[in-house]
Amino acid sequence: MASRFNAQQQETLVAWLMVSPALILLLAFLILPFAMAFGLAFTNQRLISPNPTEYVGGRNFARLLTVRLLTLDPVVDEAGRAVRDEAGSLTYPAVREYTRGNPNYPQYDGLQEWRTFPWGQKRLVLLAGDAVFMKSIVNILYFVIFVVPIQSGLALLLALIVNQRTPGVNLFRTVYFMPTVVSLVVVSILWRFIYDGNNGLLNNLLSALTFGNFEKRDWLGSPATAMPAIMGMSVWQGVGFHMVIWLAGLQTIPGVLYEAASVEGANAWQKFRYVTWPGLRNTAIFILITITIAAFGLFDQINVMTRGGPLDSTTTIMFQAFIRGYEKQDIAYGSAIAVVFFMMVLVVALVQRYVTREQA
Amino acid sequence: MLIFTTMTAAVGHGASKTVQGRRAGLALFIRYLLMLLLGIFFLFPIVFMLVSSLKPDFQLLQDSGTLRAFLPVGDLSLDNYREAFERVPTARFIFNSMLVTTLTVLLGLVVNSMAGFALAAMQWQGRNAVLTLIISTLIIPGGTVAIPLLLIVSRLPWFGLDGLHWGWFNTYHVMIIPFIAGAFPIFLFVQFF
Repeated sequence: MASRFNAQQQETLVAWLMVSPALILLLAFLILPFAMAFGLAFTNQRLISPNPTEYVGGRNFARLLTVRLLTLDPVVDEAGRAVRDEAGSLTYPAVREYTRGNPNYPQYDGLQEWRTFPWGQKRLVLLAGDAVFMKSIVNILYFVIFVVPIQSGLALLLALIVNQRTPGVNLFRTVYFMPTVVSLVVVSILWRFIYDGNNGLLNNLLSALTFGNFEKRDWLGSPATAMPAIMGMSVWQGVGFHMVIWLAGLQTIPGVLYEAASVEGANAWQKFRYVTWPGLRNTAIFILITITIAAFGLFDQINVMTRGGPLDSTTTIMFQAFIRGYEKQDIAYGSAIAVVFFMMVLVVALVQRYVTREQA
Repeated sequence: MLIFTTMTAAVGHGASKTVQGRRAGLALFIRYLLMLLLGIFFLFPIVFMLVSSLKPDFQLLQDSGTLRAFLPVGDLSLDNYREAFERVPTARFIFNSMLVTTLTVLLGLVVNSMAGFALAAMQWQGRNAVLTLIISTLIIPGGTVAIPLLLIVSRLPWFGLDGLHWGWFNTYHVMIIPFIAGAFPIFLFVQFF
């Protein structure tokens, strides 16, 4: 009896049956929610709500991204002289007089104070639709600018050091990789002890090293040190993983090239500059892009260690998406944050691809 | 560098060997010293965690300024572990983690390897389109889908032993099913086959 299908049709059918479980799961739990993020961002959807969901246009994005500059002149009395407070400083009108339903300034209505700068006699106030979100963008850029070069550079250095066939080198590779294996939540709790303001390990260590001259500080409790503390801990945790990727790249470089360089009389630096570095090109691009994307997504450490504080100095985009979307159950606003986040990551990845493109 | 090589060459073959040997020995020593210092940097928080888990609270604070923080000395016991199991159902937590991990990995192996094989080793219409779709999902950050995913799983049906339910919150399957398939594992399988 002849088969109803020919061999080619049969193979196509079997192949579709084999990919369909994965494809259906990816469609349902990755592609659909991704598409929904774009749709939901234009609605007022909440997790649980008695009211029907409505289309609200770009309102969520407008609130997220609006930034305006307000210039405040010093307060003057009837005679035109500046009113000074008890300390003799100039006084300024309160920002809320402009942002709370003032009919003369509809463009400032509902905005929040983000930052204030002195400008001669005047005072410049940056207003934002969502000041905390603006702070989270600044914070994440601060984090990315420091963590990406430090982590990738340190990882390369580690890889170069352990890329040798000396006895015991495997032990060191394992030790450097170890923090990566521990869960980020566990690592975050551990580092909270290390950074503790009273009896933290770091304070005591610095105090012992300087014979008691070091003034103890609350690393996670002060806006100036909280983010650098999280950077340090993040690099410590993540650098081992990228060391392994660098190491894989290093081992694809044929040893003959180094021998040839030695014959030519190249020193260690020249060997690195003209043999190792060109050979690591693709690895470098991969590491740069993955570290950057991971750094933009900073969340676990913040959630466990600081919850965005103190004074919003460590809040990040992903943490805001979580707070708004999950804790405050405002799915639509959280989705709008997620879309802005995706756009930022996409732009950065494309720029990095362009900058590191193959030169003809 | 150049001067140094010419000098050693001038001194003669035998002398050059010992100088080079000494230099190599010194380089090796510095390398090991560096590896050791870095090892301490990566290991000290983990050692601190392990050692502290054996100490009572007051001693942990007392030791934290000295080297004793990293040494298993003083009043050591497994009391902290006993308490962890008594105060909260830690055994249950471990069981949950093991169950979720095992099922996700096993199901993921089956689903992803099957897809990877079909995409790598079979000839069929639509292959390139499906491969492109799956690879392009690599760019989607986990954070972007988290919130809509929350909305989706809150409204999915489930047929349990006691009938039909709506919403997947607080269940095992909500921690497993959305995380079985992944573009990255499929990609690795495609490369392998």
